[in-house]
Amino acid sequence: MRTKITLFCEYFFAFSLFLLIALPSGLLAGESKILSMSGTVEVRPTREGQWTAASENMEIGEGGAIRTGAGGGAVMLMPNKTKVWLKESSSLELEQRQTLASRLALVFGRIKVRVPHLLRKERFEVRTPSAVCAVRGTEFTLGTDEEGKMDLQVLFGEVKLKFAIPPDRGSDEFSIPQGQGLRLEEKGREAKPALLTPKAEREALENWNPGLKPAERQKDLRQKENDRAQIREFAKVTTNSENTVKSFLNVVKESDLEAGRTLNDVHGNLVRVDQRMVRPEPDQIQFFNLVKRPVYGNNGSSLADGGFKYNGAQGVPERLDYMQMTMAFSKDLPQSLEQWPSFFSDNSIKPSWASFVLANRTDASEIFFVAQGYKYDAPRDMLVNNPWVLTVDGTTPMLDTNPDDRNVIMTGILKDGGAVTALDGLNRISKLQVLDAGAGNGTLVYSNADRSASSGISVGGPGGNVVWAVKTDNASSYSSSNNRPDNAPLVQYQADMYDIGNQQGAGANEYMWFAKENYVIGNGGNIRTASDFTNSSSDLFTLLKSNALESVMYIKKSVSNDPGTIITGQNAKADISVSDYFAYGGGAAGSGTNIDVVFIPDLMVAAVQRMLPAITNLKD
Amino acid sequence: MKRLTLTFLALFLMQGAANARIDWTSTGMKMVGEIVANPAGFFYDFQQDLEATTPLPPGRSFGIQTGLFPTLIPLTYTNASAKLRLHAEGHLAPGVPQVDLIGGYWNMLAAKMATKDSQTIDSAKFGGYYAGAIVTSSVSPRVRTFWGYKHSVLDAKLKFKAGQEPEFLGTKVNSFDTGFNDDFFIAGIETPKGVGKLWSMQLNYGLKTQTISTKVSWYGKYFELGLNIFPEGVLVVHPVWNFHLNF
Amino acid sequence: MKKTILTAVLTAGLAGRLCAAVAEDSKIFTPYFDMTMTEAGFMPSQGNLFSGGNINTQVGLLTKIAKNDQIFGLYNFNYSGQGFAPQDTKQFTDRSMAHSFTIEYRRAIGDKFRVRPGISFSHDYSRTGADEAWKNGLYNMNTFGLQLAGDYVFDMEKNGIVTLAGLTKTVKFPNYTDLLREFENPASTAANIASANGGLEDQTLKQVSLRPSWNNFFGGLTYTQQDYANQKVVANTGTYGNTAQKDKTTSVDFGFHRSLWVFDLYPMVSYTMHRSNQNFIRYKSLGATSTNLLDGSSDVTFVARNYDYNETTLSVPLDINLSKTSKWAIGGAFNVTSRKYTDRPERDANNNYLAGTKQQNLMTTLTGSIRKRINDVAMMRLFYSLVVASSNAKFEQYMPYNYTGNTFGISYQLSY
Repeated sequence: MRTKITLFCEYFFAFSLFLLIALPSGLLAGESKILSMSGTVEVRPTREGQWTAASENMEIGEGGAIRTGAGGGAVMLMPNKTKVWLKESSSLELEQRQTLASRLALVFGRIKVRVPHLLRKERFEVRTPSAVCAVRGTEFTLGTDEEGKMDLQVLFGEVKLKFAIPPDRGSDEFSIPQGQGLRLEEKGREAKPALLTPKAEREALENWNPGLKPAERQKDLRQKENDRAQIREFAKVTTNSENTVKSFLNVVKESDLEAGRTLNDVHGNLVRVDQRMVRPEPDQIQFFNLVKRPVYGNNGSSLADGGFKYNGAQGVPERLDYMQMTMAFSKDLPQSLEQWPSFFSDNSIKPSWASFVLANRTDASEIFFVAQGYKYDAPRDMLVNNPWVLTVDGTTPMLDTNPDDRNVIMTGILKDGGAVTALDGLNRISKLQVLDAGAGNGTLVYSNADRSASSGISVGGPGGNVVWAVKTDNASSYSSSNNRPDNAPLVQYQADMYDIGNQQGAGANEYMWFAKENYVIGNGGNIRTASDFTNSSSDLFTLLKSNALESVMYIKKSVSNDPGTIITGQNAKADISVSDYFAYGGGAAGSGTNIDVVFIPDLMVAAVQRMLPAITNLKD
Repeated sequence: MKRLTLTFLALFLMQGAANARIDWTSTGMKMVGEIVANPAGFFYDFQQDLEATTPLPPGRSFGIQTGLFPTLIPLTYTNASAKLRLHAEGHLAPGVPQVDLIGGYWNMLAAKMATKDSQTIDSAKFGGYYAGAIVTSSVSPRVRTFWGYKHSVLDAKLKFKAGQEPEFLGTKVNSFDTGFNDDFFIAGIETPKGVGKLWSMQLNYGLKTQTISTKVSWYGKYFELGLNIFPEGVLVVHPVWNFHLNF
Repeated sequence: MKKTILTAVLTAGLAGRLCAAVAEDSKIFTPYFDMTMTEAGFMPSQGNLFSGGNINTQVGLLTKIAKNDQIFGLYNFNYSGQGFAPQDTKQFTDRSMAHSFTIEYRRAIGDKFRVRPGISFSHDYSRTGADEAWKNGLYNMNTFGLQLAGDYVFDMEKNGIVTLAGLTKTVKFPNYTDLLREFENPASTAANIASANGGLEDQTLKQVSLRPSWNNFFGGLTYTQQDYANQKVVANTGTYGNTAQKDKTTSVDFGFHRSLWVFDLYPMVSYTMHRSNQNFIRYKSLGATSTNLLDGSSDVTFVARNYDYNETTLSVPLDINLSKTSKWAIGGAFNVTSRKYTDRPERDANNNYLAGTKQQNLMTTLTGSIRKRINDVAMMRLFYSLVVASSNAKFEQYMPYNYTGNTFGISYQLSY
């Protein structure tokens, strides 16, 4: 059981321990005493006493005084831990030394005073014939002569100075902070504080301990300066060494802009996305978005939600997908990216053609792709995507009243083994070097390099199957984003029916569904909601950089092959078969795969800023 | 010296304007694009102009400050900031540095005035605040270094009138809330240029968004002239004029 | 509860004492602060006006533990913005921000020897003209290094010192990988399969240097070796093989500091030889294919030993003190950097390599500045600089090679 006494003892012990540690090691003795001295120093121990030769540790009581002769110097320590240094030919009186009030009077000479922090109501003053200085927690030097000419330099803290005789003009009270000083030429004259000069500051800061030769006084200061010079040198060498690593980075920049990110997709796979913008020809821009997954799995959970079925294998290693956009202009682009905004604001610049290609490039010898081509239609002054795009250059474009003026896609499986490899074929498709074969069933042939004539080589290769199709004008589209409650996840399932080769028949396999699942995801693969964008306290910039858009695309068979019966969105969903239109990977007909592209907005913001005028023009 | 800098700058710009090589259209469009990409960041740069992140001069214990240019005029950021010294340097114990508390609040008048006449917007709040602490210690009588921390928030909230909500990505949005929020680390050095005049240079570093800015400031008795540099901002250099009263 | 109060009180007291110890008259601690800020406008002959700045903040502390033992600690924050740079080093719009810490322990052995082991960390963010988020920068870099250096003082009066230093750093690039190699060539070898995570350029950098200096003359010989952990050498078939990439750099430099009348001269000359076993495949566009990789004008070209070069740098900064007490000084500087590639052929404007001449870059910079001392710790400088860059490489779509640039800027420095 703890008694009150033991408790008290514990607290007392703790308190004294605190005092011992927190307060500077101290003497709590009663009187001021001389710490050290050199040369002629005299002390008058009390107010009425006699002047006697001083000695170390001699005590000076209240009312006492200390003075130094020529060549003398002394250091005095007061009970409240104030330290006073006296230079030669100085005389100092201890007028008052109570617990809560102390006053020193400098009759003549120079002193340096260091006052540590005082107790709450404690006052400390130093008086000269001309003024009174009140201080707390201050270090300063003070010099005066008997007529009252005085010189004050404040080193740390603040001094409140009040003139004994108010001057004719100007204020008689000043609050002088550190780094400033005040010089009074004559008692009663006006004086103002001024900044300390470096020389005066050095003199005040040097070692004032008695018995030192003049050269030794600045030894400490010089040592500090040496030390600082050494650190400066060290800092310089360190910075140089940090820079060597940077200078050894082998940089061969082969793109205008590039960005990359590693994240997780909506199915949980690790994805790496690299984006680049390059210029393959002086008048072309190519933007590509490469997607790589070390392992690809798609558990098909979207099917129950209104999505589409994935028929490919699970655990596909080294899966590659990409999206590429190429656009060519009527004039060569300026060399520097920074000049593009004004280049594009010039109304005589027109895009001449553009292509979008999305492909599953996992197997370079068998590529599944979806592409769209645009050509510039001069009479209509815009880029159009309709069957006219698949004709040789120079053919008259379609009028906008033409019923066939609808979206066209090219899609299928490219295979190696023919005159043109799959990779090269995809390259040609992205340059729009393809033409309708004229067979009436949507097959394509490659054109020559300037699109003036057919080359006779059919697109697809042996075993491949590439067709073009136009969007039907009567079948309804399927879109799952209708009727979603507020704040639902940002997911969209969408499909459009396409007529292969514009045959407008009703035979088997004459129609296909181009189906897309679009997700807005975060870096962890979680699906975002609209409120993540509108109600976050982060700026849009930060938001964009931590989100991505994932688009999973399929080409599915049509169950009915009859667009006339597809009147509602529900009809449309029911007509989308679970089988894929194209056979892939040596599997049976109907076992295809998908294109799963993750698109990061990192470059888009930068590209949009530079091409803003072009984009607004295009929209018009 | 300031006049010399400004005349050189003016000469350089004039020479540049005569020189057809500067593509002002592209520069302007790029700036617009940068503002659209990060509007909160652009407006936050002006909040940094009014933030009082220098310590109180030695001997002062309380100060109030308001930013005049470019914050009040022309952007109508009505603002007020205050600094309070908790304890002076060496006051508690020798060597213990000075600690100041800083804080302030601002609000954009123009936003409020615009919503009065608007059909679709019910209320718009565009303002911000900051709060922090600065620790200052002297390394020599005329050189003080200061370190600090501040938490800075910019809020842009739009509330739409019922029935007038716009659609965003397929959902109806009834309020739009964006802004800027970060913790900053401040480090700087201060030296007096004359009685009552201080010159200081400081670095502000945002820990989360890695926003950096440097402020060079000529701090007088009542007015402060500053040059704020935002290397990654839209307007890289902001000349700043603030008014303060220290007691 | 009592224990908590007691410990809190003790800690506060100790902290107070520590603060007191670091105060100005402390013999043990010497603090160091340095802040430099530069902001400049750049006007290249091709392209548009842009602005860039540099901010460098250093905070250091020197601790004297004993007579012969000292510890240096330094924290450095550096932001370097857009600006002109020698060709093939960076694009104008590249920016970077770095935090680094270095700690060095110095021990004096006798009067003449000193040994200095040290350790350093740094974290570097980079951002290109695409304005990506700092944390997503492709070339973000983390380094951790160890160093051991020794100094021998052979002439106390004239400051004659010889320093032998060894340094090893592991450098990691957590965001960098290259998917293009797998898209352009099927995954035929293990090295051709791109990693979905970063780390392609991770390397260990080892450096040995010998630096004598005497009477304001200084020089040095440095040898650096970079061993890449993951990056392999690309073969002339276009696929990456199994040999790891290795780079070796040797450099020699010499300079001095002399005051002549009112002039202060600091000339410096250096010669660097960089050799690497890495080659380069140039693709004109995504999806480009070629049957002959050795043809300079085909869509895909193989360039052997693309990164080997010899570089000479000469720099002569000069300060004119108007008078001993004047706050003003005029400064000038003249810099020449010349890089000659040993194997890389020059490129024409259509991205075709031309057989015959190898690529050579030359960059000359002429700077004039006015410096004013605001007081003994602060300084400001106004400068103007003319940059003339020329090269026989004419393919400048992505990296500028031939241009003339004007720079006008202001810089403030506060150093204590």
